[in-house]
Amino acid sequence: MAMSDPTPIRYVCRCEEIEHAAIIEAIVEGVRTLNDLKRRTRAGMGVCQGVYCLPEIEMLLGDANGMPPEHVAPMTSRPPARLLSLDELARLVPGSGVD
Amino acid sequence: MTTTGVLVVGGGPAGLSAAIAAAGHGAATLLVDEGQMPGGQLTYRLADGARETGARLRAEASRAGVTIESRAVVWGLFAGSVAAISQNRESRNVHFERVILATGSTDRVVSFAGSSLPGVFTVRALQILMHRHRVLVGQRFAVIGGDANEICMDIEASGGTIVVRDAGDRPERLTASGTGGVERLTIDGVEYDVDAIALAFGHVPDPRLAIMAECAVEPGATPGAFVPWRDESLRTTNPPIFAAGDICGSGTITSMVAEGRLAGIGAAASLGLVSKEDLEAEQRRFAEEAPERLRAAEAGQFVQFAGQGEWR
Amino acid sequence: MATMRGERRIKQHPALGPIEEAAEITFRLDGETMTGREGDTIASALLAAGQRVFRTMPKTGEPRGGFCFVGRCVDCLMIVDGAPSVWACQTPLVAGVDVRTQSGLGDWNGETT
Repeated sequence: MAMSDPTPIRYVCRCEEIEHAAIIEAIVEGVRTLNDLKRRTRAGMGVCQGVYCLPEIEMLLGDANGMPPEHVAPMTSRPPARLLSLDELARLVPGSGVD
Repeated sequence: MTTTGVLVVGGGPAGLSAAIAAAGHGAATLLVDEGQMPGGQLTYRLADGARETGARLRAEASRAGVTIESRAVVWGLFAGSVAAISQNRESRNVHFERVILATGSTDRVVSFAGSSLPGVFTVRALQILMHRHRVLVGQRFAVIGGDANEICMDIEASGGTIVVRDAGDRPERLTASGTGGVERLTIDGVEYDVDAIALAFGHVPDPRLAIMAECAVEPGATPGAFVPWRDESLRTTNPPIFAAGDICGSGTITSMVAEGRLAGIGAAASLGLVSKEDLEAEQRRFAEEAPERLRAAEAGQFVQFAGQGEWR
Repeated sequence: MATMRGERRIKQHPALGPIEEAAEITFRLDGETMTGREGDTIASALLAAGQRVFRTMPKTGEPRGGFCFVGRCVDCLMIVDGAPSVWACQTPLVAGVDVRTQSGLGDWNGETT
Protein backbone atom coordinates (compact mmCIF):
# COMPACT_ATOMS: atom_id res chain seq x y z
CA MET A 1 0.00 0.00 0.00
CA ALA A 2 2.17 2.83 -1.23
CA MET A 3 1.28 6.48 -1.02
CA SER A 4 3.24 8.86 -3.15
CA ASP A 5 5.47 11.11 -1.12
CA PRO A 6 4.32 14.70 -0.83
CA THR A 7 6.26 17.14 -3.01
CA PRO A 8 9.33 18.09 -0.99
CA ILE A 9 9.01 21.56 0.49
CA ARG A 10 11.81 24.07 0.92
CA TYR A 11 11.68 25.22 4.55
CA VAL A 12 13.88 28.16 5.36
CA CYS A 13 12.91 28.24 9.04
CA ARG A 14 13.07 24.59 10.09
CA CYS A 15 11.94 25.21 13.65
CA GLU A 16 8.69 26.98 12.81
CA GLU A 17 8.19 25.24 9.44
CA ILE A 18 8.22 28.47 7.42
CA GLU A 19 8.47 27.85 3.71
CA HIS A 20 10.77 29.73 1.35
CA ALA A 21 7.63 30.74 -0.55
CA ALA A 22 6.25 32.46 2.56
CA ILE A 23 9.44 34.46 3.02
CA ILE A 24 9.38 35.54 -0.62
CA GLU A 25 5.70 36.48 -0.33
CA ALA A 26 6.45 38.71 2.65
CA ILE A 27 9.30 40.34 0.76
CA VAL A 28 7.10 40.88 -2.29
CA GLU A 29 4.58 42.56 -0.01
CA GLY A 30 7.24 45.00 1.17
CA VAL A 31 8.95 43.52 4.24
CA ARG A 32 12.58 44.66 4.18
CA THR A 33 14.21 44.11 7.59
CA LEU A 34 15.00 41.01 9.63
CA ASN A 35 12.96 42.18 12.60
CA ASP A 36 9.91 42.90 10.44
CA LEU A 37 10.25 39.54 8.73
CA LYS A 38 10.45 37.80 12.10
CA ARG A 39 7.32 39.60 13.27
CA ARG A 40 5.44 38.90 10.07
CA THR A 41 6.29 35.23 9.49
CA ARG A 42 7.73 33.98 12.82
CA ALA A 43 10.86 32.91 10.98
CA GLY A 44 13.74 33.17 13.42
CA MET A 45 11.53 33.02 16.51
CA GLY A 46 11.66 29.28 17.06
CA VAL A 47 13.83 27.08 19.21
CA CYS A 48 17.10 27.83 17.41
CA GLN A 49 16.38 31.58 17.53
CA GLY A 50 17.31 32.08 13.92
CA VAL A 51 20.75 30.48 13.99
CA TYR A 52 19.93 28.20 11.06
CA CYS A 53 17.68 30.50 9.02
CA LEU A 54 18.50 34.17 9.53
CA PRO A 55 21.75 34.12 7.52
CA GLU A 56 19.82 32.73 4.56
CA ILE A 57 16.99 35.20 5.12
CA GLU A 58 19.52 38.04 5.17
CA MET A 59 20.67 36.97 1.73
CA LEU A 60 17.07 36.93 0.49
CA LEU A 61 16.49 40.40 1.98
CA GLY A 62 19.73 41.63 0.51
CA ASP A 63 18.64 40.48 -2.93
CA ALA A 64 15.25 42.13 -2.46
CA ASN A 65 16.78 45.37 -1.24
CA GLY A 66 19.21 45.36 -4.13
CA MET A 67 22.11 45.52 -1.72
CA PRO A 68 24.65 43.08 -0.34
CA PRO A 69 23.43 41.08 2.69
CA GLU A 70 25.94 42.84 4.91
CA HIS A 71 23.85 45.99 4.61
CA VAL A 72 20.89 44.33 6.27
CA ALA A 73 20.67 45.39 9.90
CA PRO A 74 21.14 42.57 12.40
CA MET A 75 18.31 41.10 14.39
CA THR A 76 17.45 42.16 17.89
CA SER A 77 18.74 39.79 20.52
CA ARG A 78 17.36 39.61 24.04
CA PRO A 79 18.08 37.31 26.97
CA PRO A 80 17.88 34.42 27.42
CA ALA A 81 20.36 33.49 24.73
CA ARG A 82 19.30 29.86 25.16
CA LEU A 83 16.09 28.07 26.02
CA LEU A 84 15.25 27.91 29.71
CA SER A 85 12.29 26.38 31.45
CA LEU A 86 10.11 28.70 33.45
CA ASP A 87 10.76 26.76 36.62
CA GLU A 88 14.49 27.16 36.17
CA LEU A 89 14.00 30.91 35.97
CA ALA A 90 11.72 30.82 38.98
CA ARG A 91 14.31 28.97 41.00
CA LEU A 92 17.03 31.55 40.39
CA VAL A 93 18.39 32.11 43.85
CA PRO A 94 16.77 35.17 45.43
CA GLY A 95 19.26 37.82 46.37
CA SER A 96 21.65 36.93 43.57
CA GLY A 97 19.70 39.00 41.08
CA VAL A 98 20.47 42.36 39.60
CA ASP A 99 19.47 45.41 41.59
CA MET B 1 26.55 35.40 44.02
CA THR B 2 30.02 34.23 43.02
CA THR B 3 32.48 36.70 41.62
CA THR B 4 35.18 36.27 39.06
CA GLY B 5 37.71 38.57 37.47
CA VAL B 6 37.48 37.32 33.92
CA LEU B 7 34.56 35.31 32.59
CA VAL B 8 35.31 33.51 29.32
CA VAL B 9 32.22 32.43 27.40
CA GLY B 10 32.95 29.43 25.20
CA GLY B 11 35.68 26.83 25.59
CA GLY B 12 36.85 26.34 22.03
CA PRO B 13 40.33 27.24 20.74
CA ALA B 14 39.85 30.97 21.33
CA GLY B 15 38.16 30.64 24.69
CA LEU B 16 40.71 28.18 26.06
CA SER B 17 43.56 30.39 24.87
CA ALA B 18 41.97 33.48 26.38
CA ALA B 19 41.41 31.77 29.71
CA ILE B 20 44.98 30.45 29.79
CA ALA B 21 46.35 33.93 29.10
CA ALA B 22 44.15 35.70 31.63
CA ALA B 23 44.76 33.17 34.39
CA GLY B 24 48.45 33.08 33.55
CA HIS B 25 48.65 36.78 34.33
CA GLY B 26 46.91 36.42 37.65
CA ALA B 27 43.24 37.04 36.84
CA ALA B 28 40.67 34.88 38.61
CA THR B 29 39.31 33.19 35.49
CA LEU B 30 36.12 31.23 34.92
CA LEU B 31 35.59 29.42 31.60
CA VAL B 32 32.01 28.42 30.80
CA ASP B 33 31.61 25.84 28.03
CA GLU B 34 28.56 23.94 26.84
CA GLY B 35 30.38 20.76 25.83
CA GLN B 36 31.07 17.71 27.95
CA MET B 37 34.73 18.64 27.85
CA PRO B 38 36.23 21.90 26.57
CA GLY B 39 37.66 22.21 23.10
CA GLY B 40 34.68 23.02 20.91
CA GLN B 41 35.55 22.11 17.33
CA LEU B 42 38.86 20.71 18.56
CA THR B 43 36.84 17.80 19.96
CA TYR B 44 35.38 16.69 16.64
CA ARG B 45 37.43 17.98 13.71
CA LEU B 46 40.38 15.96 12.43
CA ALA B 47 42.02 18.54 10.18
CA ASP B 48 44.61 21.16 11.16
CA GLY B 49 45.87 19.29 14.21
CA ALA B 50 42.57 19.91 16.00
CA ARG B 51 42.76 17.05 18.47
CA GLU B 52 46.37 17.67 19.45
CA THR B 53 45.70 21.38 19.93
CA GLY B 54 42.66 20.57 22.05
CA ALA B 55 44.61 18.26 24.31
CA ARG B 56 47.43 20.78 24.67
CA LEU B 57 45.10 23.67 25.51
CA ARG B 58 43.12 21.64 28.04
CA ALA B 59 46.33 20.70 29.80
CA GLU B 60 47.56 24.30 29.79
CA ALA B 61 44.24 25.54 31.16
CA SER B 62 44.49 23.09 33.99
CA ARG B 63 48.07 24.15 34.78
CA ALA B 64 47.14 27.85 34.61
CA GLY B 65 44.45 27.37 37.25
CA VAL B 66 41.44 28.18 35.07
CA THR B 67 38.13 27.22 36.69
CA ILE B 68 36.15 25.35 34.03
CA GLU B 69 32.41 24.74 34.09
CA SER B 70 31.29 22.24 31.49
CA ARG B 71 27.78 21.60 30.15
CA ALA B 72 27.06 25.19 31.13
CA VAL B 73 25.64 28.07 29.09
CA VAL B 74 25.81 31.83 29.61
CA TRP B 75 22.38 33.04 28.63
CA GLY B 76 22.46 36.66 29.69
CA LEU B 77 24.79 39.55 30.40
CA PHE B 78 23.35 42.29 32.60
CA ALA B 79 24.19 45.69 33.97
CA GLY B 80 27.79 45.53 32.79
CA SER B 81 28.83 43.10 35.47
CA VAL B 82 26.52 40.12 35.89
CA ALA B 83 26.21 36.97 33.83
CA ALA B 84 23.42 34.42 34.09
CA ILE B 85 24.64 30.85 33.74
CA SER B 86 22.53 27.72 33.28
CA GLN B 87 23.97 24.34 34.24
CA ASN B 88 22.08 21.12 34.99
CA ARG B 89 18.80 22.98 34.60
CA GLU B 90 19.76 25.41 37.34
CA SER B 91 20.49 29.07 36.74
CA ARG B 92 22.64 31.34 38.83
CA ASN B 93 24.24 34.74 38.50
CA VAL B 94 27.96 35.41 38.49
CA HIS B 95 29.53 38.82 38.92
CA PHE B 96 32.43 39.52 36.60
CA GLU B 97 34.87 42.34 35.96
CA ARG B 98 35.61 41.40 32.38
CA VAL B 99 33.96 39.11 29.83
CA ILE B 100 35.64 37.52 26.83
CA LEU B 101 33.09 36.34 24.30
CA ALA B 102 34.43 33.30 22.45
CA THR B 103 31.22 31.62 21.45
CA GLY B 104 32.39 30.77 17.96
CA SER B 105 30.17 30.11 15.01
CA THR B 106 27.35 27.91 13.81
CA ASP B 107 26.97 25.98 10.56
CA ARG B 108 25.72 28.18 7.76
CA VAL B 109 22.56 26.65 6.32
CA VAL B 110 21.08 27.19 2.89
CA SER B 111 17.80 25.41 2.27
CA PHE B 112 16.42 23.61 -0.75
CA ALA B 113 13.36 21.48 -1.45
CA GLY B 114 13.49 18.46 0.86
CA SER B 115 16.47 19.72 2.89
CA SER B 116 14.56 19.10 6.12
CA LEU B 117 14.14 15.37 5.44
CA PRO B 118 15.81 12.89 7.80
CA GLY B 119 19.28 12.15 6.49
CA VAL B 120 20.31 15.77 5.88
CA PHE B 121 22.97 16.98 8.31
CA THR B 122 25.31 19.88 8.86
CA VAL B 123 29.05 19.34 8.55
CA ARG B 124 29.53 19.59 12.29
CA ALA B 125 26.78 17.08 12.95
CA LEU B 126 28.49 14.58 10.67
CA GLN B 127 31.90 15.25 12.21
CA ILE B 128 30.54 14.74 15.71
CA LEU B 129 28.81 11.54 14.62
CA MET B 130 31.79 10.11 12.74
CA HIS B 131 34.66 11.21 14.97
CA ARG B 132 33.16 11.25 18.45
CA HIS B 133 30.60 8.45 18.13
CA ARG B 134 31.99 6.46 15.21
CA VAL B 135 28.64 6.50 13.44
CA LEU B 136 28.30 6.62 9.65
CA VAL B 137 24.78 7.81 8.95
CA GLY B 138 24.66 6.55 5.38
CA GLN B 139 26.71 5.04 2.60
CA ARG B 140 26.03 7.28 -0.40
CA PHE B 141 26.52 10.98 0.34
CA ALA B 142 25.65 14.13 -1.52
CA VAL B 143 27.70 17.11 -0.37
CA ILE B 144 26.12 20.47 -1.06
CA GLY B 145 27.91 23.78 -0.51
CA GLY B 146 31.09 25.59 -1.40
CA ASP B 147 33.08 24.77 1.75
CA ALA B 148 33.14 21.03 1.26
CA ASN B 149 36.72 19.81 0.95
CA GLU B 150 37.23 18.89 4.61
CA ILE B 151 33.91 17.05 5.03
CA CYS B 152 34.45 15.12 1.79
CA MET B 153 37.78 13.87 3.11
CA ASP B 154 36.18 13.06 6.47
CA ILE B 155 33.34 11.08 4.88
CA GLU B 156 35.65 9.07 2.66
CA ALA B 157 38.04 8.38 5.53
CA SER B 158 35.08 7.01 7.48
CA GLY B 159 34.15 4.67 4.67
CA GLY B 160 31.36 6.62 2.99
CA THR B 161 31.10 7.32 -0.72
CA ILE B 162 30.58 10.78 -2.20
CA VAL B 163 28.05 10.27 -4.97
CA VAL B 164 27.68 13.91 -6.00
CA ARG B 165 28.87 17.38 -5.01
CA ASP B 166 27.15 20.63 -5.80
CA ALA B 167 28.13 24.18 -4.86
CA GLY B 168 24.59 24.90 -3.68
CA ASP B 169 24.77 28.43 -5.03
CA ARG B 170 21.52 27.90 -6.95
CA PRO B 171 19.35 26.00 -4.45
CA GLU B 172 16.32 26.10 -6.74
CA ARG B 173 18.00 23.39 -8.85
CA LEU B 174 18.04 20.90 -5.96
CA THR B 175 15.34 18.57 -4.63
CA ALA B 176 15.87 15.91 -2.00
CA SER B 177 13.12 13.31 -1.73
CA GLY B 178 12.27 9.96 -0.21
CA THR B 179 9.93 8.11 2.13
CA GLY B 180 10.75 8.70 5.77
CA GLY B 181 14.17 10.05 4.83
CA VAL B 182 16.45 11.01 1.98
CA GLU B 183 16.58 8.43 -0.81
CA ARG B 184 17.55 10.57 -3.77
CA LEU B 185 18.76 14.02 -4.74
CA THR B 186 17.63 15.52 -8.03
CA ILE B 187 19.79 18.25 -9.57
CA ASP B 188 18.38 19.90 -12.70
CA GLY B 189 16.31 16.82 -13.36
CA VAL B 190 19.18 14.36 -12.96
CA GLU B 191 18.54 11.86 -10.16
CA TYR B 192 21.25 10.65 -7.79
CA ASP B 193 20.78 7.72 -5.44
CA VAL B 194 21.86 9.04 -2.01
CA ASP B 195 21.00 8.21 1.58
CA ALA B 196 22.68 11.14 3.31
CA ILE B 197 23.24 14.78 2.47
CA ALA B 198 25.86 17.08 4.00
CA LEU B 199 25.29 20.84 4.03
CA ALA B 200 28.75 22.37 3.67
CA PHE B 201 28.27 26.11 3.40
CA GLY B 202 30.89 27.09 5.94
CA HIS B 203 30.01 28.78 9.18
CA VAL B 204 28.53 31.99 10.50
CA PRO B 205 29.72 33.84 13.61
CA ASP B 206 27.23 33.73 16.47
CA PRO B 207 27.08 37.33 17.72
CA ARG B 208 23.90 37.16 19.77
CA LEU B 209 25.48 37.70 23.20
CA ALA B 210 27.46 40.61 21.77
CA ILE B 211 24.34 42.16 20.26
CA MET B 212 22.43 41.53 23.48
CA ALA B 213 25.14 43.36 25.40
CA GLU B 214 24.99 46.25 22.91
CA CYS B 215 28.47 45.80 21.52
CA ALA B 216 28.58 47.55 18.16
CA VAL B 217 28.66 45.00 15.36
CA GLU B 218 29.67 45.30 11.75
CA PRO B 219 29.10 43.07 8.72
CA GLY B 220 31.54 40.17 8.60
CA ALA B 221 33.26 38.60 5.68
CA THR B 222 30.73 35.86 4.97
CA PRO B 223 27.15 36.55 3.85
CA GLY B 224 24.81 36.96 6.79
CA ALA B 225 27.62 37.49 9.29
CA PHE B 226 27.76 40.22 11.90
CA VAL B 227 30.85 40.51 14.05
CA PRO B 228 31.63 42.65 17.08
CA TRP B 229 33.85 45.62 16.36
CA ARG B 230 37.07 45.45 18.40
CA ASP B 231 40.08 47.62 19.08
CA GLU B 232 43.70 46.50 19.02
CA SER B 233 43.37 44.65 22.30
CA LEU B 234 40.18 42.95 21.05
CA ARG B 235 38.01 45.01 23.33
CA THR B 236 34.50 45.70 22.04
CA THR B 237 32.68 49.03 22.22
CA ASN B 238 31.29 47.88 25.55
CA PRO B 239 34.25 48.36 27.90
CA PRO B 240 34.03 45.23 30.11
CA ILE B 241 33.58 43.02 27.04
CA PHE B 242 36.23 41.52 24.76
CA ALA B 243 35.65 39.17 21.84
CA ALA B 244 37.94 36.61 20.22
CA GLY B 245 37.91 33.81 17.71
CA ASP B 246 35.32 32.57 15.28
CA ILE B 247 32.69 34.83 16.81
CA CYS B 248 34.64 37.43 14.86
CA GLY B 249 35.14 35.25 11.81
CA SER B 250 38.62 33.98 12.61
CA GLY B 251 38.31 30.91 10.45
CA THR B 252 41.55 29.05 11.22
CA ILE B 253 42.54 27.36 14.46
CA THR B 254 45.84 29.25 14.49
CA SER B 255 44.14 32.62 14.34
CA MET B 256 41.52 31.62 16.91
CA VAL B 257 44.26 30.65 19.36
CA ALA B 258 46.18 33.86 18.63
CA GLU B 259 43.07 36.01 19.11
CA GLY B 260 42.16 34.25 22.32
CA ARG B 261 45.58 34.88 23.75
CA LEU B 262 45.53 38.56 22.77
CA ALA B 263 42.07 39.05 24.27
CA GLY B 264 43.09 37.29 27.48
CA ILE B 265 46.12 39.51 27.83
CA GLY B 266 44.09 42.56 26.80
CA ALA B 267 41.53 41.82 29.50
CA ALA B 268 44.25 41.24 32.08
CA ALA B 269 45.94 44.48 31.03
CA SER B 270 42.68 46.37 31.46
CA LEU B 271 42.63 45.05 35.03
CA GLY B 272 46.16 46.35 35.64
CA LEU B 273 47.69 42.86 35.62
CA VAL B 274 49.81 43.31 32.50
CA SER B 275 52.17 46.18 31.77
CA LYS B 276 51.77 48.38 28.74
CA GLU B 277 55.08 47.05 27.39
CA ASP B 278 53.98 43.44 27.74
CA LEU B 279 50.67 44.17 26.05
CA GLU B 280 52.49 45.80 23.15
CA ALA B 281 54.82 42.82 22.90
CA GLU B 282 51.78 40.55 22.70
CA GLN B 283 50.25 42.73 20.01
CA ARG B 284 53.46 42.47 17.97
CA ARG B 285 53.44 38.70 18.41
CA PHE B 286 49.79 38.59 17.31
CA ALA B 287 50.55 40.69 14.24
CA GLU B 288 53.17 38.13 13.22
CA GLU B 289 51.04 35.07 13.94
CA ALA B 290 47.77 36.28 12.50
CA PRO B 291 48.38 39.36 10.38
CA GLU B 292 45.11 38.96 8.55
CA ARG B 293 43.26 39.50 11.79
CA LEU B 294 44.84 42.74 12.81
CA ARG B 295 42.45 45.62 12.99
CA ALA B 296 43.21 49.24 13.68
CA ALA B 297 40.98 51.14 16.06
CA GLU B 298 39.87 53.97 13.87
CA ALA B 299 36.96 56.15 14.75
CA GLY B 300 34.01 55.84 12.47
CA GLN B 301 34.99 52.43 11.18
CA PHE B 302 32.20 50.61 12.91
CA VAL B 303 28.51 50.68 12.26
CA GLN B 304 26.36 51.69 15.19
CA PHE B 305 22.86 50.40 15.45
CA ALA B 306 20.04 51.92 17.44
CA GLY B 307 20.07 50.81 21.05
CA GLN B 308 18.46 47.48 21.85
CA GLY B 309 17.07 48.92 25.02
CA GLU B 310 18.87 49.96 28.12
CA TRP B 311 22.14 48.28 28.88
CA ARG B 312 20.83 46.52 31.99
CA MET C 1 11.20 1.37 2.77
CA ALA C 2 11.40 -0.10 6.25
CA THR C 3 14.01 1.23 8.59
CA MET C 4 17.04 -1.03 8.46
CA ARG C 5 18.36 -2.09 11.83
CA GLY C 6 22.03 -2.59 11.59
CA GLU C 7 25.45 -1.69 12.72
CA ARG C 8 26.62 1.62 11.29
CA ARG C 9 29.77 1.98 13.34
CA ILE C 10 33.09 2.92 11.83
CA LYS C 11 35.18 0.04 13.08
CA GLN C 12 38.49 1.15 11.60
CA HIS C 13 39.60 4.69 10.71
CA PRO C 14 42.90 5.88 9.19
CA ALA C 15 43.38 8.69 11.73
CA LEU C 16 41.35 7.50 14.71
CA GLY C 17 42.46 3.89 14.60
CA PRO C 18 40.30 0.94 15.62
CA ILE C 19 37.07 1.68 17.42
CA GLU C 20 37.55 1.63 21.18
CA GLU C 21 36.04 -1.04 23.36
CA ALA C 22 32.88 0.20 25.03
CA ALA C 23 30.17 -1.39 27.13
CA GLU C 24 26.95 -2.23 25.38
CA ILE C 25 23.92 -0.34 26.67
CA THR C 26 20.36 -1.59 26.27
CA PHE C 27 17.49 0.84 25.95
CA ARG C 28 14.02 1.05 24.39
CA LEU C 29 12.72 2.91 21.37
CA ASP C 30 8.92 2.91 21.04
CA GLY C 31 8.90 -0.29 23.04
CA GLU C 32 11.52 -2.03 20.92
CA THR C 33 14.74 -3.12 22.61
CA MET C 34 17.81 -1.46 21.14
CA THR C 35 21.49 -1.46 21.93
CA GLY C 36 24.02 1.34 21.93
CA ARG C 37 27.47 1.96 23.34
CA GLU C 38 28.86 3.63 26.41
CA GLY C 39 29.60 7.21 25.32
CA ASP C 40 26.69 7.43 22.88
CA THR C 41 24.05 10.07 23.07
CA ILE C 42 20.52 8.79 22.50
CA ALA C 43 20.65 10.27 19.00
CA SER C 44 23.98 8.72 18.03
CA ALA C 45 22.80 5.32 19.24
CA LEU C 46 19.61 5.61 17.20
CA LEU C 47 21.46 6.62 14.06
CA ALA C 48 23.97 3.82 14.59
CA ALA C 49 21.03 1.43 14.66
CA GLY C 50 19.63 2.84 11.43
CA GLN C 51 16.67 4.68 12.95
CA ARG C 52 16.05 7.67 10.64
CA VAL C 53 12.95 9.32 12.09
CA PHE C 54 13.11 10.88 15.56
CA ARG C 55 9.97 13.00 15.50
CA THR C 56 7.26 14.54 13.35
CA MET C 57 6.56 18.26 13.14
CA PRO C 58 3.53 19.95 14.73
CA LYS C 59 2.24 21.90 11.71
CA THR C 60 2.77 19.43 8.90
CA GLY C 61 3.42 16.06 10.49
CA GLU C 62 6.59 15.76 8.42
CA PRO C 63 9.38 13.56 9.75
CA ARG C 64 12.69 14.84 11.09
CA GLY C 65 15.75 12.85 12.02
CA GLY C 66 18.53 14.96 13.50
CA PHE C 67 20.29 17.87 11.83
CA CYS C 68 22.67 20.04 13.84
CA PHE C 69 23.78 17.68 16.64
CA VAL C 70 24.76 20.61 18.84
CA GLY C 71 21.48 20.95 20.71
CA ARG C 72 20.07 23.93 18.84
CA CYS C 73 17.57 22.77 16.21
CA VAL C 74 14.32 20.84 16.72
CA ASP C 75 14.99 17.75 14.69
CA CYS C 76 16.04 15.39 17.49
CA LEU C 77 13.46 16.37 20.09
CA MET C 78 12.09 13.12 21.53
CA ILE C 79 10.14 11.86 24.54
CA VAL C 80 12.75 10.57 26.99
CA ASP C 81 11.59 8.73 30.12
CA GLY C 82 8.22 10.38 29.72
CA ALA C 83 9.45 13.95 29.28
CA PRO C 84 8.77 15.51 25.86
CA SER C 85 11.01 17.74 23.74
CA VAL C 86 14.32 16.45 25.01
CA TRP C 87 17.34 16.93 22.76
CA ALA C 88 18.38 13.37 22.00
CA CYS C 89 21.72 14.62 20.66
CA GLN C 90 22.64 16.15 24.01
CA THR C 91 21.39 13.35 26.26
CA PRO C 92 23.92 10.68 27.22
CA LEU C 93 22.64 7.16 26.68
CA VAL C 94 22.00 5.34 29.95
CA ALA C 95 20.85 1.79 30.47
CA GLY C 96 17.11 1.26 30.38
CA VAL C 97 16.17 4.72 29.10
CA ASP C 98 12.74 4.76 27.50
CA VAL C 99 12.77 6.72 24.27
CA ARG C 100 9.77 7.44 22.10
CA THR C 101 9.52 9.21 18.76
CA GLN C 102 7.70 12.46 19.32
CA SER C 103 4.60 13.51 17.38
CA GLY C 104 4.40 17.28 17.20
CA LEU C 105 4.95 18.83 20.58
CA GLY C 106 4.67 15.52 22.37
CA ASP C 107 2.98 14.81 25.65
CA TRP C 108 3.80 14.04 29.28
CA ASN C 109 3.43 10.34 30.07
CA GLY C 110 0.55 9.98 27.67
CA GLU C 111 -1.34 13.05 28.89
CA THR C 112 -1.94 15.82 26.40
CA THR C 113 -0.65 19.17 27.63
